[in-house]
Amino acid sequence: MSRRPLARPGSLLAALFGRVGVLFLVIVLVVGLIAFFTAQKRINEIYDAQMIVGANVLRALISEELSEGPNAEAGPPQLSIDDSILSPEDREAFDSYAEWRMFRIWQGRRLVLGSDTGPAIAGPPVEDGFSEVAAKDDHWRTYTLHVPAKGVTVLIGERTDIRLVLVQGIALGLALPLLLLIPTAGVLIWLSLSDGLQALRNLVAELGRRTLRDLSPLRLDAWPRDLNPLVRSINRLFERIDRSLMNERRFLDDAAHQLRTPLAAVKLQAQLIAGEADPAERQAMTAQLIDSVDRAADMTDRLLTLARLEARRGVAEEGGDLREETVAALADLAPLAARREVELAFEGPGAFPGGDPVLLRLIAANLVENAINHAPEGSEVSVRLSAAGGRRQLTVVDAGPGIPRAERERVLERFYRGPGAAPRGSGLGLSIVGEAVRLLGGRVELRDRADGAQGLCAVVELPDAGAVPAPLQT
Amino acid sequence: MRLLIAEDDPMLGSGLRRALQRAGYTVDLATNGEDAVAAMRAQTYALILLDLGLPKVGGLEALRDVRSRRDRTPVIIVTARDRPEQKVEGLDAGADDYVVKPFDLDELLARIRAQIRRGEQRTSDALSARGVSVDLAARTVTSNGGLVSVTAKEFKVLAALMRRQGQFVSKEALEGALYDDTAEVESNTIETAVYGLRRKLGAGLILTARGLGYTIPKEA
Repeated sequence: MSRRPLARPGSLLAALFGRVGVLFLVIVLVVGLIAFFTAQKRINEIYDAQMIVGANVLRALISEELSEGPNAEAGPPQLSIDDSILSPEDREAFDSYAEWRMFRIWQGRRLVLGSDTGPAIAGPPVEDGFSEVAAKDDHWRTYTLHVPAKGVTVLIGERTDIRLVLVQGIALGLALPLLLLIPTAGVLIWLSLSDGLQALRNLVAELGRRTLRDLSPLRLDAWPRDLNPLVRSINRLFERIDRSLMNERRFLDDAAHQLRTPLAAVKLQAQLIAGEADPAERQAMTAQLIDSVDRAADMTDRLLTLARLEARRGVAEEGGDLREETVAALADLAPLAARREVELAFEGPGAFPGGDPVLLRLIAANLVENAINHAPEGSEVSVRLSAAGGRRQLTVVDAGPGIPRAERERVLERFYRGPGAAPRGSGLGLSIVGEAVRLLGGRVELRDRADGAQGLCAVVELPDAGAVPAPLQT
Repeated sequence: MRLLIAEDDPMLGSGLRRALQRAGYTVDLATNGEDAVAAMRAQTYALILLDLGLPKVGGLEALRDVRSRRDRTPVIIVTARDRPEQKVEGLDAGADDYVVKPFDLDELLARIRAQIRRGEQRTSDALSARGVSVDLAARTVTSNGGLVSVTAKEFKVLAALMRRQGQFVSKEALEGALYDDTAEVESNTIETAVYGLRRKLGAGLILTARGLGYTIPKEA
C-alpha cells in the first residue's frame, strides 16, 4: 500500500465532482464533435451525388437539343447560343437554384450556355470530376462532365457555404440539448455523489458519538462494503486504544498498591508507636517507621522515573559513555554492597561512547542494584563491558537464586515480582532497565550463568554511537 | 482467637501482626497466596485479613478457595484497590468486609471485632457468666462488679471458654487459640492459666472433664 498523501486535501466531494464533471464534459465534447463531423461528411456525399445527377440531367437535355438540331447530319453538331435551347420550364428549374448554383456548357472551347451565377471560368476544364474554384467573394465546388462524341463539356457548380449553413444548423440542433444536458447532469452527479458520501458522513457521526468508555468494535455489516477497510482500520485502532487504556489502568492499580502499602505500614507503625509505653520498643519501632518512609520515597522515585521514561518520545541526549556511567553507578551502590557484604567486580577496558547518559546510568544502576539485592552474603556481583560487531554489551552476573526460564519475560513487566524476588524489591527495577534499553534501541536478555553456577546473568546490548535507535513503538 | 494475615509486604505484615497481638489475638502471617491457602486449609481461624495483590496465588483466588470449601470464616479484604468495581468483586467473591489501605488501626480492630461477633452470633463484646464479665473490646475482666487483673494467657483462655459457653473446649483447641505457628508450645500453659483463673474468679467457674477439656457451664 502506498502512503502517498492525496495531492490536494480539499473536499472529497468537490474533488470527485470535479473529476466526474471534467470526464462528462470531455465525453459530451467528443460525442458532439463526432456527430458534427459525421453529419458534415454525409452532407458532402449527398450534395456531391446531387451534382453528379445534375450534370447528367443537363447532359441528357443537351443531347436532346443536339440531336434535334437542324445541322444534325452535316459536320459536328452546333449548339445555338440563344435561350431557346432550354424550355421555359428548364430555365425556371435553373432559376430556382437561386444564387448558390451555377452551370456552364461548352462545345469545344466555345461557351454555349451558362447561368448568370458563379465565377468567371476561362474555358472548359480538361479533367472530369470534382474541383474547387475560388471566386472573388465566395468559393465554389464544381463537377465537370465531358461528352466526347459531341465535343461538349458540362460543368455544374455549387457554392460551398450552403453546405456550411446546413452543417451549422445540424451542429446547433445537437449543441442545444447537449448544453441543456450538462447542467442537468451536473446536478444529478452532485446529488448522487453526496448521497454516496452519506454513508461516510454517518460513519463520521457514529465515531463522533464514541467516547473512551465505548470502544466496542463497529459492526462490519452495518456499513457499505467499500467502507469495510476503513471500518476495520478503525476497529484495530479502537483495540489498540482499549489495550493501552487497560494497561494504564493496570499501571494505576499497581502503582496504587505499591504506594499505599508502604503508606499503610507507615501509618500502622505510627499508631503502634503512639500506643507503646516501653522506650526501647518505641525506639526500635521508630527505626522501622523511618525504614518504611524511605521505602515509600524510593518507590515514588522509581514510579516517577518509569513514568517519565514511558512518556519520552525520543532520545535527544547523546554523548554518554557506558563505561563512565557504569563506573559511576557502581560507586553509588558500593555502600549498599558493603552493607549486604557483597563483593563488586568490574571489567571493561577502553571507552564505550554513545547514548543518553541518564538512560545509561539508569540501566547500569538498576541492573547492579537488582543483582546486589539478590546476591547472597559473601558472594560476588561481576560487571563486564565488551564491544563486538557494532554493539556494546553490559553483562551483570550474580550468584542469587536466578529467575526460572518461564518468568524471564515477565520480570520486565511493571511491578512483576517473581517468587524469588527480593523482599525489598519494588518490582520496577527491571522494568526501568527494559524501558531505557528500548529507548536506546537495544535489547535485554536474562540468561543462566555461563559457568553453570546458580545465579542470573543479565545482558544488555546497545547499538554503538552513531547507530540509529529503533523507532519508538506506540 | 487465632487470626490469619495474608500480606506480602513485610513491613505492613509485621506491623499488623504486632498490632493484633497487642489486641490479644494470636496471629499467623502468610506472605504469599500459596502459604495463605495452605494455612486456611490446615487451621480454623476466627478471622482472615486478606491482601488482594498477593504473589503466586492472588487474594481473590484464595478467597474463592475458602468459600468453595463451605468455610464461613469471616474474611476482611485489606487492599490498595479502591475502585467500586473492585470492591464489588471482592465482596461478591465472599469477603465480609473491605478495607482500603492506608487504614486506621482502631477502625480495623473494630471491624475485626464486629466480624467475629457476627460470626459467633453475639450482639456485644461483653460476655458474662456466673457473676464474671469479660469485655472483649476493652480486654477487661470483672467479677461481682470489681475489676480483676489477669495475664494475657489467662485472658485468652477465659475469652475462648466464654465464647463457647456450655461447650467443652479441648486443651488442643485452647492451645491453638493461644499460640501462633512460630511460638513454642509449653506443655502446662493451659493448666497454669486455668489454675490462675480459678484462683482469681472462683473455683466453680471452670469445670474440667478428662478427655473432653474445659467448660464454663451455662447459668441455670
